[in-house]
Amino acid sequence: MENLLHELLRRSAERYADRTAVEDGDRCLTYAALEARSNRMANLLASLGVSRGDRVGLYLDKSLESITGIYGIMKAGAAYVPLDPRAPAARLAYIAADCDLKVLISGLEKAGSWAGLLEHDAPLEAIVVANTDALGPEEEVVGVKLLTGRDVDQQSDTDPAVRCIDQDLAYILYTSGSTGSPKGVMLSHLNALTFVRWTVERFGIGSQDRLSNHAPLHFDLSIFDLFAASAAGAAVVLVPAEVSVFPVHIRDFIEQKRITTWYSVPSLLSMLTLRGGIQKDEFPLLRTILFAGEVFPTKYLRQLMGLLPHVEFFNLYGPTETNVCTYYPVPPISAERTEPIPIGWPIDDVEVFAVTDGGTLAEPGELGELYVRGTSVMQGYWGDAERTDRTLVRDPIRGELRDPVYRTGDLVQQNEDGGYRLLGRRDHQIKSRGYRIELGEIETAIYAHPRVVECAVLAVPDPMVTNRIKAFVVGRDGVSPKDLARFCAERIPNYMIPEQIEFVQTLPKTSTGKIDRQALMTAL
Amino acid sequence: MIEDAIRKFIAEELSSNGLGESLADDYPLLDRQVIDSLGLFQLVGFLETEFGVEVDDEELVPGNFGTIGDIARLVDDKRA
Repeated sequence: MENLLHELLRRSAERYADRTAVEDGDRCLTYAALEARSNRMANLLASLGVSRGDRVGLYLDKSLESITGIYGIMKAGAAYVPLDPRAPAARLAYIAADCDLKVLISGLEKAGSWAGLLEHDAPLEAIVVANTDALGPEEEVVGVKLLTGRDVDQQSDTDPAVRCIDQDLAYILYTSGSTGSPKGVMLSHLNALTFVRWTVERFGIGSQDRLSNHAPLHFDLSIFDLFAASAAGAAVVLVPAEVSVFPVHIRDFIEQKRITTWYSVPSLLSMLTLRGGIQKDEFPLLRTILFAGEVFPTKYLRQLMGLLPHVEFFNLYGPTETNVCTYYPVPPISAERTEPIPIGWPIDDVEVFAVTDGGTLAEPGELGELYVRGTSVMQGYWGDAERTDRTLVRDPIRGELRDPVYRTGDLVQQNEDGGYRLLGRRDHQIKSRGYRIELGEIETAIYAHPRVVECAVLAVPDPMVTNRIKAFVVGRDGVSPKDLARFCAERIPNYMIPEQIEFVQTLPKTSTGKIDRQALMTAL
Repeated sequence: MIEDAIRKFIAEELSSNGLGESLADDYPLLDRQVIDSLGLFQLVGFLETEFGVEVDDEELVPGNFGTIGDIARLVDDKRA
């Protein structure tokens, strides 16, 4: 029995051939169909020269085709690299060049953006436009071979049976990098399976379950949705982007699609609580709500739990580098509590511990940086050995252990019951709407503007979305906040663009000449 | 004018990609992702304080927030 993510699909296709694997609006694929279709995709990729160890990009809106693409890529022995369909071309081209994406699985809706990727030096040779059977001359791109869904159809539906091992990379997720460029977190089949298998057991996922997929595919929350479903023979139901804007639509979606397990960032659940018009005991079929990515404001969590007493709530915690490493089953929350709920205890096959500034193991109650050890921990950052070495380190407590441990940069404190509480960060990484953002990457984008003299980007705490982003900028003649926002939009994704850009004469400095962030924060 | 106040709010608070105050009354705010889930919340907060209306949960639907014109119509109807 192989320990590979696409083996989950193959086994469910044998056992649950006619059950729904993926639903996207009115369209759906059974397990047998998803298996056959992804085999065809794998064979097409192989015919394009994709082989074990390669990377293939996914650049299309979430759909049956993107899910088929994910399995097809892994069946071809490659790692999938999901690109944010809304991110600017320059950033995506950087990613494509960084991990050498020669082949892209895309969709007709992105046709207008292919040329932009090439202009920014993406090394693309072929694009499989999975959701159409024919392309017009206007879609042609110089120097790139274009294929369509028809080319997928013409392939054999037999699994190419590329031999892989569980340490092979399954996917690379790019996250914000402090030096101004995104960094690729490399995750193996085993890394994902460690987490996925635990979830299936812990949350009792079965073939009758219907899991929502709200997170975009480039966000690691999607790992649970896709692979816990295929591990259990359950259905994954894609949440259309337009549904998540309107809380009453989310409510109707959960109801009408008969969702049994919901997983998303807390901010969406807060909005559902406040504006979803949920009645007491709504969603009789819903069993489990999982949330991760940011702190769930306690008052909204308590309110939602009060409305849905039949639902079990779990807080999942873990940087992309560790999948999920701890979890907390949320007990009823007392009316007085305002403090955020803990991140809890480690999942199976994962160990977590905290190390003090002095380099000793933190005792319960003592502040320390959280370290993670186990098979859910990433393989490193793509093409960046130096950064990898800084975060995947020898166990500082038990030097005799050879396997690396991951330094999260998160500051925690252990409770008497052994669970952990999250207290902050060691650096300038922040969270906003569940996205992980390095303020330094935003500053780099702003500094790239020729008329920016100096800038500082700050995170302003916000009860709903964890943080809002504000930039203070010293500029030369005539650059406006609007210009700068537009300039940023060509470089960084929307969720990283400061919501407020304020022009100032000078920035306050510390005695060592550094920008005094503390003073700026106080001035807010 | 209601439209102008809404336009100004969207330009200043929501339009992080620098769209500015040139937004037409029929510009597709949802299709172009000018309004996302968080933006909707901010916008509703603004409408409620600025125009003294109360927007029901069930009124938070695309038909009322698709364009600046739609939003203005919603406010008008609520004030009538």
